[in-house]
Amino acid sequence: MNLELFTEPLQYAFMQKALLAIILAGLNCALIGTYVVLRRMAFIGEAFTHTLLPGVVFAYVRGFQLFWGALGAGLLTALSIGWIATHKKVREDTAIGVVLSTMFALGVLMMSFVRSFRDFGSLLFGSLLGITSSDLVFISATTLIILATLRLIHKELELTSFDPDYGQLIGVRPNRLRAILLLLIALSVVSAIQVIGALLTTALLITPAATACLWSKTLSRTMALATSIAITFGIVGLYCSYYFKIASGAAIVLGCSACFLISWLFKKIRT
Amino acid sequence: MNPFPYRGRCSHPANSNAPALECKSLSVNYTKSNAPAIEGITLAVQPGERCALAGPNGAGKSTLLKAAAGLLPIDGGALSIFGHAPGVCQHQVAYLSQRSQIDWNFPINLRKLVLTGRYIHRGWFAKVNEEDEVSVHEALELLSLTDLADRQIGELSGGQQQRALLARTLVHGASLLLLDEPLNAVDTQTCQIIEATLDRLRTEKKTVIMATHDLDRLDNDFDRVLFLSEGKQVQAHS
Repeated sequence: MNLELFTEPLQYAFMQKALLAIILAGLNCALIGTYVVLRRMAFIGEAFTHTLLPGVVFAYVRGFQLFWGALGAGLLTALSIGWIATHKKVREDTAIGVVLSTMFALGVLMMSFVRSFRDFGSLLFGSLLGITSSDLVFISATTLIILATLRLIHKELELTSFDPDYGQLIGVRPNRLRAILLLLIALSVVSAIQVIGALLTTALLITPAATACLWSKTLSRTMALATSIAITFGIVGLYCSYYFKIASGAAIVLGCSACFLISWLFKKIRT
Repeated sequence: MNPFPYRGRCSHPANSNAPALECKSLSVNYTKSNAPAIEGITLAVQPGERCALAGPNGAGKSTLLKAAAGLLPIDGGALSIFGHAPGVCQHQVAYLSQRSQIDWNFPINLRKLVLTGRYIHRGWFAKVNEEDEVSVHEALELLSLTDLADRQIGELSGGQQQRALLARTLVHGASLLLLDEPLNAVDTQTCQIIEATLDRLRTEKKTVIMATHDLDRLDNDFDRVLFLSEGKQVQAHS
Protein backbone atom coordinates (compact mmCIF):
# COMPACT_ATOMS: atom_id res chain seq x y z
CA MET A 1 0.00 0.00 0.00
CA ASN A 2 1.28 3.43 -0.88
CA LEU A 3 1.96 5.32 2.37
CA GLU A 4 1.71 8.60 0.50
CA LEU A 5 -2.03 8.08 0.19
CA PHE A 6 -2.12 8.59 3.93
CA THR A 7 0.60 11.21 4.39
CA GLU A 8 0.01 13.40 1.35
CA PRO A 9 -3.23 15.04 2.60
CA LEU A 10 -1.59 15.74 5.96
CA GLN A 11 0.65 18.39 4.42
CA TYR A 12 -2.38 20.68 4.62
CA ALA A 13 -3.16 22.33 7.97
CA PHE A 14 -6.92 21.88 7.51
CA MET A 15 -6.43 18.10 7.14
CA GLN A 16 -4.25 17.95 10.25
CA LYS A 17 -6.94 19.76 12.22
CA ALA A 18 -9.67 17.57 10.74
CA LEU A 19 -7.75 14.40 11.65
CA LEU A 20 -7.24 15.53 15.23
CA ALA A 21 -10.88 16.64 15.50
CA ILE A 22 -12.32 13.33 14.30
CA ILE A 23 -10.05 11.34 16.62
CA LEU A 24 -11.08 13.40 19.66
CA ALA A 25 -14.77 13.62 18.72
CA GLY A 26 -14.79 9.86 18.02
CA LEU A 27 -13.25 9.23 21.43
CA ASN A 28 -15.79 11.50 23.17
CA CYS A 29 -18.81 10.00 21.45
CA ALA A 30 -17.69 6.38 21.75
CA LEU A 31 -16.94 6.58 25.49
CA ILE A 32 -20.17 8.35 26.40
CA GLY A 33 -22.12 6.46 23.72
CA THR A 34 -21.29 3.18 25.45
CA TYR A 35 -23.20 4.35 28.52
CA VAL A 36 -25.97 5.76 26.30
CA VAL A 37 -26.47 2.38 24.61
CA LEU A 38 -26.18 0.27 27.76
CA ARG A 39 -28.57 2.51 29.69
CA ARG A 40 -31.02 2.49 26.75
CA MET A 41 -30.80 6.28 26.40
CA ALA A 42 -30.48 6.38 22.59
CA PHE A 43 -33.63 8.48 22.28
CA ILE A 44 -32.10 11.08 24.59
CA GLY A 45 -28.99 11.14 22.41
CA GLU A 46 -31.19 11.78 19.38
CA ALA A 47 -33.04 14.52 21.26
CA PHE A 48 -29.82 16.40 21.97
CA THR A 49 -28.94 16.64 18.31
CA HIS A 50 -32.27 18.40 17.59
CA THR A 51 -32.54 20.58 20.67
CA LEU A 52 -29.23 22.30 19.87
CA LEU A 53 -30.78 24.14 16.91
CA PRO A 54 -32.40 27.12 18.73
CA GLY A 55 -29.16 27.67 20.67
CA VAL A 56 -27.17 27.75 17.44
CA VAL A 57 -29.57 30.19 15.78
CA PHE A 58 -29.64 32.38 18.89
CA ALA A 59 -25.83 32.51 18.90
CA TYR A 60 -25.85 33.45 15.20
CA VAL A 61 -28.36 36.25 15.74
CA ARG A 62 -26.48 37.61 18.76
CA GLY A 63 -23.19 37.37 16.92
CA PHE A 64 -21.15 35.03 19.09
CA GLN A 65 -19.59 31.68 18.25
CA LEU A 66 -22.23 29.09 17.30
CA PHE A 67 -20.61 26.47 19.51
CA TRP A 68 -21.51 28.39 22.65
CA GLY A 69 -25.13 28.55 21.57
CA ALA A 70 -25.14 24.81 20.95
CA LEU A 71 -23.49 24.21 24.31
CA GLY A 72 -26.04 26.40 26.10
CA ALA A 73 -28.96 24.61 24.44
CA GLY A 74 -27.34 21.22 25.18
CA LEU A 75 -26.91 22.00 28.85
CA LEU A 76 -30.47 23.34 29.04
CA THR A 77 -31.72 20.09 27.48
CA ALA A 78 -29.64 18.01 29.94
CA LEU A 79 -31.04 19.89 32.92
CA SER A 80 -34.62 19.69 31.57
CA ILE A 81 -34.44 15.95 31.00
CA GLY A 82 -32.82 15.41 34.40
CA TRP A 83 -35.59 17.44 36.03
CA ILE A 84 -38.29 15.51 34.18
CA ALA A 85 -36.72 12.20 35.22
CA THR A 86 -36.87 13.26 38.87
CA HIS A 87 -40.46 14.56 38.76
CA LYS A 88 -42.28 11.64 37.16
CA LYS A 89 -45.54 13.34 36.24
CA VAL A 90 -45.29 12.12 32.63
CA ARG A 91 -43.33 9.24 31.11
CA GLU A 92 -39.77 10.25 30.37
CA ASP A 93 -39.80 9.26 26.69
CA THR A 94 -42.99 11.27 26.17
CA ALA A 95 -41.46 14.34 27.79
CA ILE A 96 -38.28 14.00 25.73
CA GLY A 97 -40.39 13.75 22.55
CA VAL A 98 -42.19 16.96 23.47
CA VAL A 99 -38.95 18.81 24.37
CA LEU A 100 -37.23 17.56 21.19
CA SER A 101 -39.95 18.64 18.77
CA THR A 102 -40.62 21.94 20.57
CA MET A 103 -36.96 22.98 20.61
CA PHE A 104 -36.42 21.91 16.99
CA ALA A 105 -39.55 23.78 15.85
CA LEU A 106 -38.35 26.82 17.79
CA GLY A 107 -35.01 26.58 15.99
CA VAL A 108 -36.67 26.33 12.57
CA LEU A 109 -38.90 29.32 13.40
CA MET A 110 -35.87 31.36 14.45
CA MET A 111 -34.10 30.34 11.23
CA SER A 112 -37.05 31.59 9.18
CA PHE A 113 -36.64 35.01 10.84
CA VAL A 114 -32.95 35.00 9.98
CA ARG A 115 -33.95 34.08 6.41
CA SER A 116 -30.84 32.04 5.75
CA PHE A 117 -30.49 28.29 5.96
CA ARG A 118 -27.04 28.27 4.35
CA ASP A 119 -25.26 29.72 7.38
CA PHE A 120 -26.27 26.79 9.51
CA GLY A 121 -25.40 24.15 6.94
CA SER A 122 -22.04 23.32 8.52
CA LEU A 123 -23.67 22.70 11.90
CA LEU A 124 -26.55 20.66 10.53
CA PHE A 125 -24.46 18.52 8.18
CA GLY A 126 -20.91 18.97 9.48
CA SER A 127 -17.83 20.56 8.01
CA LEU A 128 -14.88 18.44 9.03
CA LEU A 129 -12.55 20.15 6.59
CA GLY A 130 -13.53 23.53 8.01
CA ILE A 131 -12.43 22.85 11.59
CA THR A 132 -10.79 25.89 13.16
CA SER A 133 -8.22 26.12 15.94
CA SER A 134 -10.86 27.35 18.39
CA ASP A 135 -13.05 24.35 17.46
CA LEU A 136 -10.10 22.11 18.29
CA VAL A 137 -9.58 23.80 21.65
CA PHE A 138 -13.25 23.19 22.55
CA ILE A 139 -13.17 19.54 21.39
CA SER A 140 -9.91 18.90 23.31
CA ALA A 141 -11.33 20.51 26.46
CA THR A 142 -14.40 18.27 26.15
CA THR A 143 -12.18 15.21 25.83
CA LEU A 144 -10.29 16.17 28.99
CA ILE A 145 -13.52 16.71 30.93
CA ILE A 146 -14.96 13.36 29.78
CA LEU A 147 -11.77 11.41 30.52
CA ALA A 148 -11.35 13.03 33.93
CA THR A 149 -14.99 12.43 34.90
CA LEU A 150 -14.95 8.80 33.79
CA ARG A 151 -11.65 8.28 35.61
CA LEU A 152 -13.14 9.65 38.82
CA ILE A 153 -16.63 8.09 38.87
CA HIS A 154 -16.43 5.16 36.47
CA LYS A 155 -17.20 2.52 39.09
CA GLU A 156 -20.27 4.40 40.33
CA LEU A 157 -21.56 5.06 36.79
CA GLU A 158 -21.10 1.40 35.97
CA LEU A 159 -22.93 0.23 39.12
CA THR A 160 -25.90 2.55 38.69
CA SER A 161 -26.18 1.52 35.04
CA PHE A 162 -27.10 -2.08 35.85
CA ASP A 163 -28.31 -1.90 39.46
CA PRO A 164 -29.50 1.58 40.48
CA ASP A 165 -31.22 0.21 43.61
CA TYR A 166 -27.93 -1.04 45.04
CA GLY A 167 -26.32 2.28 44.15
CA GLN A 168 -29.10 4.07 46.03
CA LEU A 169 -28.62 1.72 48.99
CA ILE A 170 -24.95 2.61 49.41
CA GLY A 171 -25.65 6.32 48.95
CA VAL A 172 -24.41 6.86 45.39
CA ARG A 173 -27.60 8.75 44.32
CA PRO A 174 -28.28 7.36 40.79
CA ASN A 175 -30.32 10.43 39.74
CA ARG A 176 -27.35 12.74 40.29
CA LEU A 177 -25.07 10.44 38.32
CA ARG A 178 -27.63 10.38 35.55
CA ALA A 179 -27.62 14.17 35.52
CA ILE A 180 -23.83 14.16 35.22
CA LEU A 181 -24.08 11.66 32.37
CA LEU A 182 -26.62 13.90 30.60
CA LEU A 183 -24.19 16.81 30.83
CA LEU A 184 -21.43 14.61 29.38
CA ILE A 185 -23.77 13.57 26.54
CA ALA A 186 -24.48 17.26 25.84
CA LEU A 187 -20.75 18.03 25.74
CA SER A 188 -19.88 15.08 23.51
CA VAL A 189 -22.72 15.90 21.08
CA VAL A 190 -21.67 19.56 20.88
CA SER A 191 -18.05 18.51 20.33
CA ALA A 192 -19.11 16.37 17.37
CA ILE A 193 -21.54 18.63 15.55
CA GLN A 194 -18.84 20.57 13.70
CA VAL A 195 -17.24 17.23 12.76
CA ILE A 196 -20.19 15.32 11.34
CA GLY A 197 -23.16 17.65 11.82
CA ALA A 198 -25.99 17.88 14.33
CA LEU A 199 -28.27 15.61 12.34
CA LEU A 200 -25.72 12.78 12.13
CA THR A 201 -24.09 13.05 15.56
CA THR A 202 -26.43 10.45 17.03
CA ALA A 203 -24.87 7.90 14.71
CA LEU A 204 -21.37 8.55 16.07
CA LEU A 205 -22.79 8.36 19.59
CA ILE A 206 -24.79 5.17 19.15
CA THR A 207 -23.48 3.03 16.27
CA PRO A 208 -19.86 2.34 17.38
CA ALA A 209 -21.06 1.54 20.91
CA ALA A 210 -23.88 -0.66 19.64
CA THR A 211 -21.39 -2.55 17.45
CA ALA A 212 -18.95 -2.98 20.35
CA CYS A 213 -21.74 -4.32 22.58
CA LEU A 214 -22.21 -7.18 20.10
CA TRP A 215 -18.60 -8.32 20.65
CA SER A 216 -17.55 -7.44 24.20
CA LYS A 217 -18.47 -8.88 27.56
CA THR A 218 -16.88 -6.26 29.81
CA LEU A 219 -17.52 -2.54 29.94
CA SER A 220 -13.89 -1.50 29.51
CA ARG A 221 -13.50 -3.67 26.42
CA THR A 222 -16.78 -2.35 25.02
CA MET A 223 -15.51 1.21 25.45
CA ALA A 224 -12.14 0.38 23.90
CA LEU A 225 -13.72 -1.33 20.89
CA ALA A 226 -16.32 1.42 20.40
CA THR A 227 -13.52 3.99 20.45
CA SER A 228 -11.49 2.01 17.91
CA ILE A 229 -14.48 1.72 15.58
CA ALA A 230 -15.40 5.41 15.85
CA ILE A 231 -11.81 6.59 15.26
CA THR A 232 -11.10 4.09 12.46
CA PHE A 233 -14.21 4.94 10.46
CA GLY A 234 -13.75 8.61 11.29
CA ILE A 235 -10.33 8.55 9.65
CA VAL A 236 -11.57 6.42 6.74
CA GLY A 237 -14.48 8.85 6.21
CA LEU A 238 -12.13 11.82 6.33
CA TYR A 239 -9.85 10.36 3.64
CA CYS A 240 -12.82 9.31 1.50
CA SER A 241 -14.09 12.87 1.77
CA TYR A 242 -10.67 14.22 0.71
CA TYR A 243 -10.10 11.88 -2.22
CA PHE A 244 -13.66 11.40 -3.54
CA LYS A 245 -15.05 14.87 -2.72
CA ILE A 246 -17.98 13.46 -0.71
CA ALA A 247 -19.59 14.69 2.51
CA SER A 248 -17.31 13.63 5.39
CA GLY A 249 -20.08 13.26 7.98
CA ALA A 250 -22.11 10.95 5.77
CA ALA A 251 -19.00 8.88 4.87
CA ILE A 252 -18.14 8.41 8.55
CA VAL A 253 -21.67 7.43 9.55
CA LEU A 254 -22.11 5.01 6.64
CA GLY A 255 -18.79 3.34 7.52
CA CYS A 256 -19.87 2.89 11.15
CA SER A 257 -23.28 1.62 10.02
CA ALA A 258 -21.69 -0.93 7.64
CA CYS A 259 -19.50 -2.16 10.49
CA PHE A 260 -22.59 -2.58 12.71
CA LEU A 261 -24.53 -4.38 9.98
CA ILE A 262 -21.70 -6.84 9.27
CA SER A 263 -21.21 -7.50 13.00
CA TRP A 264 -24.92 -8.03 13.54
CA LEU A 265 -25.23 -10.40 10.57
CA PHE A 266 -22.13 -12.34 11.67
CA LYS A 267 -23.51 -12.75 15.19
CA LYS A 268 -26.94 -13.72 13.88
CA ILE A 269 -25.53 -16.39 11.56
CA ARG A 270 -23.24 -17.78 14.27
CA THR A 271 -26.06 -18.11 16.78
CA MET B 1 -30.22 12.27 57.12
CA ASN B 2 -26.57 11.75 56.29
CA PRO B 3 -25.78 14.10 53.34
CA PHE B 4 -22.66 12.15 52.31
CA PRO B 5 -23.33 8.48 53.06
CA TYR B 6 -21.01 7.15 50.36
CA ARG B 7 -17.58 8.13 51.55
CA GLY B 8 -15.72 4.95 52.42
CA ARG B 9 -15.78 4.80 56.19
CA CYS B 10 -18.79 4.45 58.45
CA SER B 11 -19.70 7.75 60.11
CA HIS B 12 -22.60 6.38 62.17
CA PRO B 13 -21.52 3.19 63.98
CA ALA B 14 -24.25 0.93 65.32
CA ASN B 15 -25.72 1.77 68.70
CA SER B 16 -24.94 -1.40 70.68
CA ASN B 17 -28.05 -1.12 72.89
CA ALA B 18 -30.52 -0.61 70.05
CA PRO B 19 -32.42 -3.34 68.18
CA ALA B 20 -31.07 -4.21 64.73
CA LEU B 21 -34.42 -3.10 63.32
CA GLU B 22 -37.30 -1.49 65.11
CA CYS B 23 -40.50 -0.17 63.61
CA LYS B 24 -43.51 1.33 65.34
CA SER B 25 -46.82 1.82 63.49
CA LEU B 26 -44.83 2.07 60.27
CA SER B 27 -46.55 3.19 57.06
CA VAL B 28 -44.96 3.38 53.62
CA ASN B 29 -46.65 4.84 50.57
CA TYR B 30 -45.28 4.65 47.02
CA THR B 31 -47.39 7.60 45.87
CA LYS B 32 -49.37 9.99 48.03
CA SER B 33 -52.58 9.37 46.07
CA ASN B 34 -52.73 5.62 46.68
CA ALA B 35 -53.41 3.56 49.79
CA PRO B 36 -50.26 2.79 51.83
CA ALA B 37 -48.27 -0.24 50.62
CA ILE B 38 -47.74 -1.14 54.29
CA GLU B 39 -49.51 0.29 57.31
CA GLY B 40 -49.29 -0.02 61.08
CA ILE B 41 -46.31 -2.39 61.19
CA THR B 42 -44.72 -2.82 64.62
CA LEU B 43 -41.68 -5.04 64.97
CA ALA B 44 -38.38 -5.27 66.84
CA VAL B 45 -35.57 -7.57 65.70
CA GLN B 46 -32.62 -7.93 68.08
CA PRO B 47 -29.00 -8.25 66.88
CA GLY B 48 -28.16 -11.82 65.89
CA GLU B 49 -31.77 -12.86 65.33
CA ARG B 50 -33.20 -14.34 62.16
CA CYS B 51 -36.63 -12.95 61.27
CA ALA B 52 -38.99 -14.09 58.51
CA LEU B 53 -41.44 -11.86 56.69
CA ALA B 54 -44.16 -14.20 55.45
CA GLY B 55 -47.23 -13.60 53.32
CA PRO B 56 -48.64 -13.84 49.80
CA ASN B 57 -47.51 -11.76 46.83
CA GLY B 58 -48.38 -8.10 47.35
CA ALA B 59 -48.46 -8.45 51.13
CA GLY B 60 -45.80 -5.77 51.60
CA LYS B 61 -42.72 -7.89 52.38
CA SER B 62 -40.49 -6.27 49.76
CA THR B 63 -41.80 -2.80 50.68
CA LEU B 64 -40.82 -3.30 54.32
CA LEU B 65 -37.34 -4.49 53.32
CA LYS B 66 -36.86 -1.55 50.92
CA ALA B 67 -37.96 0.92 53.59
CA ALA B 68 -35.49 -0.64 56.03
CA ALA B 69 -32.77 -0.35 53.38
CA GLY B 70 -33.54 3.35 52.98
CA LEU B 71 -34.80 2.93 49.43
CA LEU B 72 -38.34 4.13 50.19
CA PRO B 73 -39.40 7.13 52.25
CA ILE B 74 -41.43 6.53 55.39
CA ASP B 75 -44.95 7.91 55.32
CA GLY B 76 -45.87 7.46 58.99
CA GLY B 77 -44.69 5.89 62.24
CA ALA B 78 -41.03 5.24 63.02
CA LEU B 79 -38.30 2.96 61.71
CA SER B 80 -34.76 2.68 63.03
CA ILE B 81 -31.72 0.57 62.13
CA PHE B 82 -29.29 0.06 65.03
CA GLY B 83 -30.75 3.23 66.54
CA HIS B 84 -30.38 5.36 63.40
CA ALA B 85 -32.85 6.43 60.72
CA PRO B 86 -32.83 4.24 57.58
CA GLY B 87 -30.24 5.34 55.02
CA VAL B 88 -27.91 6.83 57.64
CA CYS B 89 -26.06 3.67 58.60
CA GLN B 90 -25.33 2.36 55.07
CA HIS B 91 -22.34 0.24 56.13
CA GLN B 92 -24.47 -1.73 58.59
CA VAL B 93 -27.22 -2.74 56.14
CA ALA B 94 -26.89 -5.05 53.13
CA TYR B 95 -29.87 -5.62 50.88
CA LEU B 96 -30.39 -8.52 48.49
CA SER B 97 -32.96 -7.42 45.93
CA GLN B 98 -35.03 -9.65 43.69
CA ARG B 99 -33.23 -10.71 40.52
CA SER B 100 -35.60 -8.78 38.27
CA GLN B 101 -34.25 -5.46 39.61
CA ILE B 102 -30.92 -5.92 37.78
CA ASP B 103 -29.96 -5.55 34.11
CA TRP B 104 -28.41 -8.99 33.58
CA ASN B 105 -27.38 -8.17 29.99
CA PHE B 106 -24.92 -5.54 31.21
CA PRO B 107 -21.34 -6.40 30.17
CA ILE B 108 -19.72 -7.24 33.50
CA ASN B 109 -18.61 -10.57 34.87
CA LEU B 110 -19.61 -12.29 38.08
CA ARG B 111 -16.45 -11.25 39.96
CA LYS B 112 -17.10 -7.57 39.17
CA LEU B 113 -20.74 -7.86 40.25
CA VAL B 114 -19.68 -9.24 43.63
CA LEU B 115 -16.93 -6.63 43.91
CA THR B 116 -19.55 -3.85 43.81
CA GLY B 117 -20.49 -5.02 47.32
CA ARG B 118 -17.18 -3.54 48.52
CA TYR B 119 -17.75 -0.07 47.03
CA ILE B 120 -19.40 1.12 50.25
CA HIS B 121 -16.01 0.70 51.97
CA ARG B 122 -14.15 2.73 49.35
CA GLY B 123 -16.42 5.66 48.47
CA TRP B 124 -15.90 8.27 45.75
CA PHE B 125 -12.71 8.33 43.68
CA ALA B 126 -11.08 5.34 45.43
CA LYS B 127 -10.20 2.09 43.72
CA VAL B 128 -10.90 -1.33 45.18
CA ASN B 129 -7.86 -2.87 46.86
CA GLU B 130 -6.39 -6.28 47.68
CA GLU B 131 -8.50 -6.61 50.82
CA ASP B 132 -11.61 -6.26 48.65
CA GLU B 133 -10.33 -8.88 46.19
CA VAL B 134 -9.68 -11.33 49.04
CA SER B 135 -13.16 -10.73 50.43
CA VAL B 136 -14.71 -11.40 47.00
CA HIS B 137 -12.61 -14.54 46.56
CA GLU B 138 -13.82 -15.93 49.90
CA ALA B 139 -17.47 -15.17 49.11
CA LEU B 140 -17.20 -16.84 45.71
CA GLU B 141 -15.72 -19.95 47.31
CA LEU B 142 -18.37 -20.04 50.01
CA LEU B 143 -21.14 -19.97 47.41
CA SER B 144 -19.42 -22.38 44.99
CA LEU B 145 -19.04 -19.71 42.30
CA THR B 146 -15.25 -19.60 41.88
CA ASP B 147 -15.27 -21.44 38.54
CA LEU B 148 -17.84 -18.99 37.15
CA ALA B 149 -16.06 -15.81 38.28
CA ASP B 150 -15.13 -14.62 34.78
CA ARG B 151 -18.48 -15.44 33.20
CA GLN B 152 -20.72 -12.58 32.01
CA ILE B 153 -23.63 -12.25 34.47
CA GLY B 154 -26.25 -12.85 31.77
CA GLU B 155 -24.74 -16.27 31.06
CA LEU B 156 -25.43 -17.50 34.59
CA SER B 157 -28.44 -19.63 35.47
CA GLY B 158 -31.13 -18.20 37.75
CA GLY B 159 -29.74 -20.06 40.75
CA GLN B 160 -26.18 -18.88 40.01
CA GLN B 161 -27.41 -15.30 39.69
CA GLN B 162 -29.13 -15.61 43.07
CA ARG B 163 -25.92 -16.91 44.65
CA ALA B 164 -23.98 -14.07 43.01
CA LEU B 165 -26.30 -11.52 44.62
CA LEU B 166 -25.93 -13.25 47.99
CA ALA B 167 -22.13 -13.19 47.57
CA ARG B 168 -22.31 -9.42 47.00
CA THR B 169 -24.51 -9.06 50.08
CA LEU B 170 -21.90 -10.96 52.12
CA VAL B 171 -18.90 -8.87 50.99
CA HIS B 172 -20.81 -5.72 51.96
CA GLY B 173 -19.83 -6.83 55.48
CA ALA B 174 -23.01 -5.53 57.14
CA SER B 175 -24.40 -6.57 60.52
CA LEU B 176 -27.98 -6.55 59.20
CA LEU B 177 -28.85 -8.45 56.03
CA LEU B 178 -32.18 -7.81 54.30
CA LEU B 179 -32.91 -10.68 51.91
CA ASP B 180 -35.82 -10.45 49.49
CA GLU B 181 -36.88 -14.03 48.73
CA PRO B 182 -33.39 -15.50 48.15
CA LEU B 183 -34.84 -19.02 47.85
CA ASN B 184 -37.51 -18.12 45.30
CA ALA B 185 -37.35 -20.18 42.05
CA VAL B 186 -33.87 -21.64 42.61
CA ASP B 187 -32.56 -25.16 42.02
CA THR B 188 -31.95 -27.66 44.82
CA GLN B 189 -28.17 -27.17 44.83
CA THR B 190 -28.54 -23.39 45.16
CA CYS B 191 -31.14 -23.85 47.88
CA GLN B 192 -28.74 -26.03 49.91
CA ILE B 193 -25.81 -23.63 49.43
CA ILE B 194 -27.87 -20.61 50.46
CA GLU B 195 -29.25 -22.40 53.52
CA ALA B 196 -25.72 -23.39 54.58
CA THR B 197 -24.65 -19.76 54.15
CA LEU B 198 -27.56 -18.56 56.27
CA ASP B 199 -26.52 -21.01 59.02
CA ARG B 200 -23.01 -19.61 58.87
CA LEU B 201 -24.38 -16.08 59.24
CA ARG B 202 -26.18 -17.22 62.40
CA THR B 203 -22.90 -18.45 63.91
CA GLU B 204 -21.35 -15.07 63.03
CA LYS B 205 -24.17 -13.34 65.01
CA LYS B 206 -25.40 -11.49 61.92
CA THR B 207 -29.02 -10.32 61.91
CA VAL B 208 -31.05 -11.61 58.97
CA ILE B 209 -34.51 -10.42 57.92
CA MET B 210 -35.80 -12.48 55.05
CA ALA B 211 -38.94 -12.38 52.93
CA THR B 212 -40.14 -15.91 52.20
CA HIS B 213 -43.02 -17.92 50.82
CA ASP B 214 -41.90 -21.15 52.44
CA LEU B 215 -44.22 -21.52 55.44
CA ASP B 216 -43.13 -25.08 56.29
CA ARG B 217 -39.79 -24.11 57.77
CA LEU B 218 -40.66 -20.96 59.64
CA ASP B 219 -40.62 -22.56 63.11
CA ASN B 220 -37.28 -24.31 62.70
CA ASP B 221 -35.29 -21.75 60.72
CA PHE B 222 -36.33 -18.42 62.25
CA ASP B 223 -36.35 -16.81 65.69
CA ARG B 224 -39.17 -14.45 64.81
CA VAL B 225 -41.91 -14.37 62.15
CA LEU B 226 -44.00 -11.45 60.92
CA PHE B 227 -47.05 -12.38 58.85
CA LEU B 228 -48.27 -9.74 56.43
CA SER B 229 -51.38 -9.53 54.28
CA GLU B 230 -52.40 -6.66 52.02
CA GLY B 231 -49.86 -4.37 53.67
CA LYS B 232 -51.02 -5.02 57.21
CA GLN B 233 -49.52 -7.00 60.06
CA VAL B 234 -51.60 -10.13 60.56
CA GLN B 235 -49.57 -11.79 63.26
CA ALA B 236 -46.10 -11.65 64.83
CA HIS B 237 -44.56 -14.29 67.03
CA SER B 238 -41.21 -15.51 68.32
